[in-house]
Amino acid sequence: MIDTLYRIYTVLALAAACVLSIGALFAALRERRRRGHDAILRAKYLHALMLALSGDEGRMPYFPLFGHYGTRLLLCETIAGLVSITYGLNTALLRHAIDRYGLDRWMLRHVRRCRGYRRARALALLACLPSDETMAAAVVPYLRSRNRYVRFYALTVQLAVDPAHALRYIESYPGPLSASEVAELMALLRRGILPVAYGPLLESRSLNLRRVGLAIVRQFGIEEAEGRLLQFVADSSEPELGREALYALCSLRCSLLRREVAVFITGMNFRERRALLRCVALEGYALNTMQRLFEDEEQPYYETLVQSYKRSLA
Amino acid sequence: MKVVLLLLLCAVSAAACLVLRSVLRGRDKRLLLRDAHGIGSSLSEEIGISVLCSGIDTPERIDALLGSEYTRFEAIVVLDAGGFPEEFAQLTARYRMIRVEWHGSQEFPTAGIRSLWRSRRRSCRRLVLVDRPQRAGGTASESSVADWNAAASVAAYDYLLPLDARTVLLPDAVLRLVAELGEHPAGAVDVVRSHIGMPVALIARDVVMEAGGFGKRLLRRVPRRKRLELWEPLAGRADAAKRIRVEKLVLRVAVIVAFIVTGWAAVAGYWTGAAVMATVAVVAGAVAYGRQALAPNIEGVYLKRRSNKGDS
Repeated sequence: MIDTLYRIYTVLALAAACVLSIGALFAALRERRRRGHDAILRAKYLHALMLALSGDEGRMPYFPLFGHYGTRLLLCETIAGLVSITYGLNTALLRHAIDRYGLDRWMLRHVRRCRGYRRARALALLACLPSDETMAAAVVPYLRSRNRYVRFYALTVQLAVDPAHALRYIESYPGPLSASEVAELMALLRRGILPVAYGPLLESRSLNLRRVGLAIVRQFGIEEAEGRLLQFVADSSEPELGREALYALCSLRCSLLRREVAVFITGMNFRERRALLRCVALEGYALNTMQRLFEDEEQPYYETLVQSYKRSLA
Repeated sequence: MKVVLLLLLCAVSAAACLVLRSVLRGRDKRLLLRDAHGIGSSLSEEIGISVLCSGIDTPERIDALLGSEYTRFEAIVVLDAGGFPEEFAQLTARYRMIRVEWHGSQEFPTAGIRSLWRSRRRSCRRLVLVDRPQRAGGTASESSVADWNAAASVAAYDYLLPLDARTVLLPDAVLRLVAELGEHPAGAVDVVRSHIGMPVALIARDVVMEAGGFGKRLLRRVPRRKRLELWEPLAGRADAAKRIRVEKLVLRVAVIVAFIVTGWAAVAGYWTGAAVMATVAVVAGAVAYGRQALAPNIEGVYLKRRSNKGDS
């Protein structure tokens, strides 16, 4: 009996080893192809697209070997790279190329075939392609994915193809956005996809929209939002948002000598207070400000921070 | 006895496959985040990383550290100006360092920081040079720990990444760590560490402070829910350029030999030996696949460094 089990195990293990070895071989061949054939073809596609974009005729460029294995993905990546460096300008020709070669439909099928982070990557690529609004509905199933990256990049596809309803999409997004995801949305905003109007965002009831609003205030240094930031700090129902607002106040170099700020700092734990002190010192606040905000026990620490010339150089 | 051995072999094969799965997932995640440009430029002010360097004294390695695109990042290099006067003078001249006034923080056990230097060049403002005398008779590990403690006491940010002379940080490692931290609420993660390549760990400043500085069993103090394990390389070995080819060759030979010996043992009727060698083949195959999947990450650094040397 045990010998039979050993035989079965050996056969199965050998089969697994064969699969793994073949996988390693394919990975090596793919990598070699990526460095050689794909790199040359990518340069040719980019050259063709750049020539077409710089010409006045708007003629469709010729893509050599298009239709062969891997060339559609290569062309999608080239177009996506081009869109990201042109900040979304001159997309008419690129959109025409996508329509003609059916790249967005193909990309959607590619998304369907992939799993996990690969699917998220395909969605990220799809978000960079100038596609039509029907894509917003096509990616809705992925908003319910277990992988948070798939969910988030499905949202970016919706935002990219239908920016007019961006706020509605963010509001209905399932689950809270992380700091990394808000940072990615800021990158979309710089590409002109999201509206910069921070007021409605800060006033919204959606936590995600308020976080995006706070990020806009911090990114663009909008000092007029100081009053609203102080309201967030004073609102004890959402301490996470209050802390973000406090950091935003620091980065705007607003006065921290406010009752709301003092109350909020009293509620912070030791580690949070120390982290805030380091941030306040890095932003260049005076010793006087810290003396009035923090307790006497913290005095040696913040004095060290403020008096260190190293920090003032930073 | 035979049953136990069979179970053990099954467990080893399963573990190899599971680790490979984690490595491939890590690779896919890395590729995904490589194009996430917003993280480097727009992340909240709360995530900052101080890289603490012990035994790193060559401009090439410091330049590589300063190449990170993340803004809230600094590299603190600890060097003994008395023991290595030439290297110290070379660094201060190259980066136009000036001595700055500094008040020591009492959070870490720092022994004998002589002086602190910063660059006048705007492009190198993230570099901090700490002059600290090396204690005679100490081991390399003790010296590194003392250097890291000294560097931590001047660090400005909330996360510390200690590096020693043997470890080279991969180019996108800082951004990768920042992306990982940004995925979780502030303060939810105390340690991020990688099991692939050279082991490195990003540690929250407060954890090091509460432990009384760097030292043994530091990471074990952190509860499991606050640790984040990555299955992708963040750092490589400083002397890995030659080893990469040798390791590749050894792996290929190991797979082939394991296949041959398994076949021979099976034909001869030694099923226990065949099972053991088949397990070796599975493990070697998994390692070969994982290495190949990560090759652009690991080998790229060394190939780039070699070509840079060739250019210069």
